[in-house]
Amino acid sequence: MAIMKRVLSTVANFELATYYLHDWAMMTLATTGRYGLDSTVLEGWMANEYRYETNIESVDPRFVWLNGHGDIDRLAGQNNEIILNLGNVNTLNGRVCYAFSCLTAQQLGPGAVNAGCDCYIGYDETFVFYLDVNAFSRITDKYAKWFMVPGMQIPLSLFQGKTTLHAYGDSQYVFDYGIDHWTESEDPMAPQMLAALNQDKRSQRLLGSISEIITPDQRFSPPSLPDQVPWQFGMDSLIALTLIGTIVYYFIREMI
Amino acid sequence: MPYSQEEYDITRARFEALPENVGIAILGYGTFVKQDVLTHIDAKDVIGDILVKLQMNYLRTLKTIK
Repeated sequence: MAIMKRVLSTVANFELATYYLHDWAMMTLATTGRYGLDSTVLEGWMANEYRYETNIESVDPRFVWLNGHGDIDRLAGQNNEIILNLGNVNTLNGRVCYAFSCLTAQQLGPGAVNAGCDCYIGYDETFVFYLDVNAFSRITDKYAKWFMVPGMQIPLSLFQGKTTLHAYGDSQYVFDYGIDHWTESEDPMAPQMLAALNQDKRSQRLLGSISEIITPDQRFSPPSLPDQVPWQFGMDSLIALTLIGTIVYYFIREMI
Repeated sequence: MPYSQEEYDITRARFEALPENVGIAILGYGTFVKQDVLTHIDAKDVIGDILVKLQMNYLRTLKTIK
């Protein structure tokens, strides 16, 4: 029996696309404490099959969140090492799983649900996003955030005690918000952004039960919006502290 | 080759407008800048086909809406 409020996440981090996933996933995982959740993160080199399986046994998490490259019947971790396939998909028995990855909702997700996974949310097409190669930060990248925020909304809503259907609905809403934004935009990137946002939204799938939760504590918030991040991910307090620290520093320096 | 030459040409034309500072990331395949994208479309390989599918699905959606 999986233990409520426990989260296990694998976060690959080895090339540009996974750097984005990594930074956004780590920022989202940093909010688990706020919701009273106990999270175990297998980051970078630790995102491998051995550590995944041993942590599934020792942590017994209610929620498994996998970030990395995927194919129709498998999902990878660091350096594309396969973590999950149809051979060990029974590790998701009695759990809720979100795969932020390409294609896995075609075969791996249904295989997981058939093997006893309560709910599997993933994508049945390639997950595509645009990025600014000169961006100062992957979190504030003016293109990537429109894809990362809806992708991160699934775990964020689940952290808040929402059901799997509610989390799916929140994520779809954020995709729609992005589609509306870029439909009205005169930015030359708008047609490209719309093509990718449409594909990513359409390919998101909820398989299995729609009423699963990962925590009984309900601390609902409205979905995060791409033009409001990183404020809603808890970065506001960090930035405020930095500003206050800077002001105090210059004040003391002037006094001396 | 699952797509017609016209579909490759339309896709290529759409990606030719991609700014130089923008990359497209495809989870499972990597990240590609404009020149990579055009090369894959010309080669009609797996990446090229993913990009054609991306554009064609979107154009079909627009047609349905209209």
